[in-house]
Amino acid sequence: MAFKRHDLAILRELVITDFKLRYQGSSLGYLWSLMRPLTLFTIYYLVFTKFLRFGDSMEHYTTYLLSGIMLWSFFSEATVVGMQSIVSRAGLIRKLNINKSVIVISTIVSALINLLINLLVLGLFLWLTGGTYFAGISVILVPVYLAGLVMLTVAVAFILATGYVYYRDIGHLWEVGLQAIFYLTPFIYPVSIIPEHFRKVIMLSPLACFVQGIRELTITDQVITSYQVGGWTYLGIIGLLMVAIIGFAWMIFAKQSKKFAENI
Amino acid sequence: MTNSKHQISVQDLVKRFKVPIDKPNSLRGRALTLGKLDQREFLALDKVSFGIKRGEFVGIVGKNGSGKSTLLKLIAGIYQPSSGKVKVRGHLIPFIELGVGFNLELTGRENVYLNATLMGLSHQSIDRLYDQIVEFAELGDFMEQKLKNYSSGMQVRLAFSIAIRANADILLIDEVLAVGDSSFQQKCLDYFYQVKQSDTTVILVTHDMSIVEQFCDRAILLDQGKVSKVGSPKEISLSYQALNFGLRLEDQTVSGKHHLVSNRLKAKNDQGDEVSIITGGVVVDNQYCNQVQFGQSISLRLECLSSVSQQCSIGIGIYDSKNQYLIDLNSKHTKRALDLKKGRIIVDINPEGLQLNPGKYRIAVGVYNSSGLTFDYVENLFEFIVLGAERWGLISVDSVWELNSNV
Repeated sequence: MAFKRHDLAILRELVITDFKLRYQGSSLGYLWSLMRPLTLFTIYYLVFTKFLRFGDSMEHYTTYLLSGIMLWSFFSEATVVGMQSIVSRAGLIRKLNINKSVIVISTIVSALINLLINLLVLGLFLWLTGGTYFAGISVILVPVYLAGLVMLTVAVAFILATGYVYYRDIGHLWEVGLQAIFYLTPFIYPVSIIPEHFRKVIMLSPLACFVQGIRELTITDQVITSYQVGGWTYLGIIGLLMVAIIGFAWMIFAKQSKKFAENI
Repeated sequence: MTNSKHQISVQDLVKRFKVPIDKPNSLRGRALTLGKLDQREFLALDKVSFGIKRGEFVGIVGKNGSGKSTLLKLIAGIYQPSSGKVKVRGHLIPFIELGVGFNLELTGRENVYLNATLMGLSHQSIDRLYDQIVEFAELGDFMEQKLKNYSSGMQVRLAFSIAIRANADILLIDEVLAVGDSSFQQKCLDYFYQVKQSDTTVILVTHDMSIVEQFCDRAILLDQGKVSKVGSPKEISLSYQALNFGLRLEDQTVSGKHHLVSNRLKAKNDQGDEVSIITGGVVVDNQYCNQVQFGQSISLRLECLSSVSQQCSIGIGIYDSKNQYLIDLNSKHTKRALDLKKGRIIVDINPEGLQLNPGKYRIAVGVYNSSGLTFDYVENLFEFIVLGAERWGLISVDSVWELNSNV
């Protein structure tokens, strides 16, 4: 499954194709990928600041919520599209000895480009409204957390894509799984409202670690991170979890991807 | 069989497919069968070995389901062998289908870049070759239109135009000629001629024996997942025809064993005498045989059993594969009755000058007494085939051609 130079050219072509196809025939085009998180945001904003009043417990809750929805959109879209990518490219796989990981990764790159543009728009908005926050030099860690998030997403997509070739039920299972992950990860609520003993569990999730890490460095130091909950022990466990997930994903994908052509 | 000089070497290649009898595509299905599926193992390739040298143009032929496409996909690395080895040296491109990755919603130009990238071309070389591709496909005015507005012929032209720019040491081509009109097929043939001249190694899977004979240096005949024969295109072409007519190669000679004679109409005369046809066939070198080469003289032999010495006539009908009654060979035409002796009789018939065209034939035989009563009639006593290049018409005759210019 070694990545060759030409694989990058194929990756590029697949990503470009994906972008062209996605917004073709729609008059708003790319704006749609902004509209979706913004609509979600409007709904959650109404519910969580006006009805449930989560926002009262922290400053900059609005930004917190908006960034959470953007990161969530990336994770959920990338894993769902990534899961289906191998099966939907069956035609290619049956006729060419193409590097299968390129197909999965191309869908995640597309989603990542969307995320980066969304975050850029968010940053621009904050800058214009004077709401920017600077966490000092440690802001250089943002790309590290982002890389962690992307790696986790790729690994999950590899596992799901492999499973989906053999069992289409995985699609339905993952739909439910995503709902669970959405509510068990602090995307829309501040961690401070969660009872202490539950906090210790949910902050062990690598996903929560990355999301909170990014927010702590860009929104407000009131954001509760995995480090604050469990110190270096937690970061160590999360590191091991990441190694385990990525290792498992690589192993299963490297082994099974050779047989995709005859099993799709 | 394989050595280091070979660019492609295939050794003891085995490919098994597990075919679930009722494929449960869901966890529930798997849970219900407790993980044990009713699977039928299908042996697509069985210990296939051969080597191909740089620059060779090799044809792979065989009936549908003989494993040709599976073999091609294994060489291309699309499938993994169940056991055995495939070694390929150099950059290989499979043309299992033209226009892989083509998307109807993209423009012609976008599809060129997508497909050519998948075919292994870099972005720069596509930039460089783009005008040639468009010109060759004769689609200059259409390149900015979506592919869905193209006719199927235009799509094939575009795909082919890209495919032939692909730069490879080895090309695997699967039945590309099956699509397109005759002018497209001519383009394909021109392309084959061009690659034949170059030192590109080509493996071509086809049913078209004329192409095999025209372009291939060697050919491989696959039958039921095994290499049945490797040889010159001519030899393989003949063996392939033999296979196609439903005969196994091992059965080329029929040892004098008796056919099961069915569909018969039997009768005895008033005295209870009878004649039975036992067996018959085409005879070459005094042995029964079910195939002859075109041009070889055809001798027939019948074996009968007569309960009494008597006079009879025998009629032999030769039918072609479309069941047309081609020729009636009848002893009555010789104006001489046959005197059968009591017991077993062997009748040899030599139809002089009979040249049957390549194809499959069936023989019907009837034995009659002097007053016309049918003793025995067998609708399908035996079948045989005539091997050779295809010819028009039903039968062939030798002819002499003279040119007379001063009339």
